[in-house]
Amino acid sequence: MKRMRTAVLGLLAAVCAAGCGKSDPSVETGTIVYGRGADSKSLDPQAIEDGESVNVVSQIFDTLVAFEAGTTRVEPALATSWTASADGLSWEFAIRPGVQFHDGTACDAAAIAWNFRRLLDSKSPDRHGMGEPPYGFLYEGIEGCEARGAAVVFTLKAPNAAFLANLAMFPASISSPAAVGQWKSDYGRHPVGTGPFRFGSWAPNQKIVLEANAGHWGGAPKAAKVIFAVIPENSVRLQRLKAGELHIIDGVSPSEFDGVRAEASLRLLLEPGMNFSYLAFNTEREPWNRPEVRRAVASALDKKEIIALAYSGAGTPAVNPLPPTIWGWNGSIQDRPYDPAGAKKALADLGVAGKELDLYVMPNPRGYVPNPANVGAVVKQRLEAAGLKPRLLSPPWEGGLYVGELKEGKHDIALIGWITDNGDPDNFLFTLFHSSAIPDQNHARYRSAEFDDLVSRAQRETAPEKRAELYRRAQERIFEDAPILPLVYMPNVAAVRANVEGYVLHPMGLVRLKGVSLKK
Amino acid sequence: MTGTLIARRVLMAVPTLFGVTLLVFAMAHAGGDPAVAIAGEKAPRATLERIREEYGFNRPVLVQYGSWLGGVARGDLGRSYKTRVPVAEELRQAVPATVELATAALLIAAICGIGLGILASLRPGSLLDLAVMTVSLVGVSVPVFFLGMVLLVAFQGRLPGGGMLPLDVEFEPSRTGMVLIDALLAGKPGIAAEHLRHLLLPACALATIPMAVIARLTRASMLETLTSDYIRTARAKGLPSRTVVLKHALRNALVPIVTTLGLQYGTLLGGAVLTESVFAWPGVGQYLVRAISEQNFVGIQGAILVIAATFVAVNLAVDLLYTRIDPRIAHA
Amino acid sequence: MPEWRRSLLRLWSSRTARAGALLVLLYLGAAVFAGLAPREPREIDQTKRLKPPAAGHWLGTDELGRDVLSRVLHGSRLSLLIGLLSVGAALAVGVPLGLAAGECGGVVDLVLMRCVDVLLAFPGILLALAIMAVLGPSLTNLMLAVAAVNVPVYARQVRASVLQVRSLDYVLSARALGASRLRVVLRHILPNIAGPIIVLATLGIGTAILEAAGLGFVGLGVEKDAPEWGTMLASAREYVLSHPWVVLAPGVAASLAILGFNLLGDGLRDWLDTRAAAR
Repeated sequence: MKRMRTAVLGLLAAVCAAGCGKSDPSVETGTIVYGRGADSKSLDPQAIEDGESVNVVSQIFDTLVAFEAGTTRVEPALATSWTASADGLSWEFAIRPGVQFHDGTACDAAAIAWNFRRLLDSKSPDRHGMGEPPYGFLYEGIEGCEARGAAVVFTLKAPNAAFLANLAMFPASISSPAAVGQWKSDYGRHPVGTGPFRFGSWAPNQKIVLEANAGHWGGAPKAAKVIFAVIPENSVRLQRLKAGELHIIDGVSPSEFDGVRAEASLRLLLEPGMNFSYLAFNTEREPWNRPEVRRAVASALDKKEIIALAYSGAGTPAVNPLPPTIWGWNGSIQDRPYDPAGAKKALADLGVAGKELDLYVMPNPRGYVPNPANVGAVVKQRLEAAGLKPRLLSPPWEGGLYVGELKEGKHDIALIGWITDNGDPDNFLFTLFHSSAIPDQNHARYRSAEFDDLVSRAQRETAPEKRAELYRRAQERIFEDAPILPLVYMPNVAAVRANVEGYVLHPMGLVRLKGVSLKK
Repeated sequence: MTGTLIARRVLMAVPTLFGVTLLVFAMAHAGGDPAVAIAGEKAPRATLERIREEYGFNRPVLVQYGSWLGGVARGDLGRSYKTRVPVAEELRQAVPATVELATAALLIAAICGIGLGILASLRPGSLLDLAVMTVSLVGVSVPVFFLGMVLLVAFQGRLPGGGMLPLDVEFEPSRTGMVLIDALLAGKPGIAAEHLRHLLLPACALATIPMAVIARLTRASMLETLTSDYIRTARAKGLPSRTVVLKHALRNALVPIVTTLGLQYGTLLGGAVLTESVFAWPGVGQYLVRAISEQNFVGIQGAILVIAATFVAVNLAVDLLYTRIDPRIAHA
Repeated sequence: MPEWRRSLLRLWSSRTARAGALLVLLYLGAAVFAGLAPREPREIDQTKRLKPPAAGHWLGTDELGRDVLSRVLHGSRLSLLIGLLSVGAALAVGVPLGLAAGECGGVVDLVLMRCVDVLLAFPGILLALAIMAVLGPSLTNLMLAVAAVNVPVYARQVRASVLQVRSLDYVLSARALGASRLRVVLRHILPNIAGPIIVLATLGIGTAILEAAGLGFVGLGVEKDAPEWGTMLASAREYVLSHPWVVLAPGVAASLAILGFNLLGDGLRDWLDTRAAAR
């Protein structure tokens, strides 16, 4: 009987002990492993809209012009130089000679013009059932694009200040026409560009492997290989960074900042971003149609408290619906002070004490709000303290359910935000508040003839300083009318291993791995 | 058992499976607007209209069900709204991961559960018995995701906290889809060992509930056989107690245990949903949770259908096995 | 089985029931007196983020400076509500279905049991997940989902019990005396299968608490700031390594509550079994 028991115990011990040894991940030098929360959806630059797809696409593809490091100004890329006609309606780009796609075909003017026809023409057979490009709206102002010798010429329907910036955006990436023709509707799984890395393999929901394109026109990338690995859980991702399995991660939750800073083997990268989060009042509903009520609610909230509790101190209180990193930001507006007692009294005087309201808060983190549930909890508490009766609602973000309900105007107050598409103030102020943006991005359903006039004039204005002045006045209108309550400017964040060199966060949130290497 | 009986059991599973498809389809179609899920929230209305046309969302529901069912019969579960990759292809990668995890958990549960159950049954009422019974009661009561988190803390730094392999290890499980088996088949014991270290924590977390159930059942059924007449006869004949316990008592006690193991397998598939999300295990559970948060109803449909079908198949197998063993017990 | 061993087992079983009853009472007490918790469960305080357990905050504070003890106590109230209502709803539907299937037999039985088979073809938590995915997260939907998962379980169990008792002498004699079918079911069958149903319901509350916490954990639970145990665990998950009390408190509370109902259910079952054996 004793031997029997020993046998069973031994078996148990063996099971428990199996594989408790110390691991030694033999990290191959020259492979950069980038950890992120979700997989890419497609790597066809024209078919995508989500950051996880964009981040990989940016490594595989080049654009005609590219954003300079650290700014939203553009520099030459596949185009070496460009000229615009006097009326601003015709743009000619000289194409860099001798560039080849990863499949060996030539990236010439004809191939580039072909890409734009695919982007612009909804009947183009080269789309192979892709459907309308989600970011096609950025290029609606382009009348046509054609190759003229070694140059590409664009004709615009109207002068457009953001045209160059839009050409630097991911949908304008240049694909190999031969590869699109070969893979057809499956091209998104077999992308071929001219960028610093070529596509290697894709294990869905696990990883995408890219290999260096040593013949890149701008010089060979430093790393031999790049792996984009999917690790959905923030804490697990950080743990695997600490273990040395990953070199760069995004989506570090603010709660982990101190932990990363304390770890000698890691570095925390924080750079001001081009985003802001806000509460949108449904200004078509009683009582939020009254500016006094909205202003009273504004002074019931302490943005510093929200930053301390839901952003772990990372972030800056937002005053304007435009971040300070974008030109035209109005720095002279002073925010309303936090005054809970005053707010409560004001709301009572306005007859809205005890008002029940639906407070929409998205269930998943977004780039501009890392922990929406906590923002919701704090806002709800403070609104309760001010005498309101909020109810938290969190329809799923994906599938457009959340934004869909906002578009239908089902909210009283909704947490939402905006990240720049192209670094232009028009992309904030016109896109979010012009009356024609109801029911699209104008979630406050804000209608002001005066404001509409300001941002429409700014669109047609070509002198930068005059444009900036119009935008500064537009921001004053928003502050006065308070259709929304700006909350926080969120910095761009990444954590890297201390031996990672050459990784720089771009204010637009672009990921660029070309110059990244690992120090021995 | 006769062939007709087997045929009857199998035939009885058919209406069940049919009902499963109906239910899965109905649930998936009660959700959000699939066109928006495909095109994204910035899509203009004309695009949504075109997608409804293209995917046939504007056809009558019954027609949609028919064409979906036809696809399912051919192994076509539709294309994911998100990645536009066939769901069947995505699940072909996810299913082996779940099967591997659930099987590992079942093995651990069986070995530990039977071992603990035997130990407890040898000295009923002893401190050891009490300890085993307490552990097994606690085992069925602790939520598996909470246990997973506790294990993560306890083994932090010693065992990996997520995934199936270190990320820089290049290995494509191309034969069975199960990393452990494929690595061994490919003659790469290093990768197999590394994978085993990743497998251990999630498998242990998942194994607790079935382990507890099996330990209790083993104890009960051992107690019953140990006190039965023929074991007392065997003892009286002077057979060494190890032989009695292993050869006679355990063999008889095993029958209900095997049955329970089969039934627990289905529970494990369900439990895997939560365990996988704690340990970033890229199986069907994680796939399903992501599909739900993405409102990817084609993916939800496919994942649930696959799990339910596996569940039905396993239960059927257990059922057949049981009816097969049953008469033999009667004669033993 | 020798008498001493049998009594030993009975002793064990009564100890089970006693331990279970104690835990369940503790849990009920927590739920009833949650109102006396030291703090409001949603009261935030930015000066008290993630403080370890100490006087004033016996279980520490969470990432919003909320008192963990108060949240755990209110969590017991919420989970009790979910457990009782969902099990009640599941019984209200499942028991009549099971009675009908068992008593009527034939086509009714066949159709009902086929439906039950279909529902049981899904692992419970999966079915609940799917229902929540369709209905969207809210307290009512959570209870509906948990109830829906348990209806087939109860229906099948009740049917099996009915089949066991319907051929017993007193049922047959009641029928022979001309009692109506409904009367036989309500007066003779139902009281005799009440025991197993009570056991099932007791264990079911534990399961319901577990399932509700699981749904909360994957983000399909109640209002985001509600002190629900699974939701608390999900939001505390990133602090598991640095501030373990935020995870341990709701996790241990949920485990103890579930353990209590499991023990009590087991004890009741054993007790019923021995009573049946003695009869």
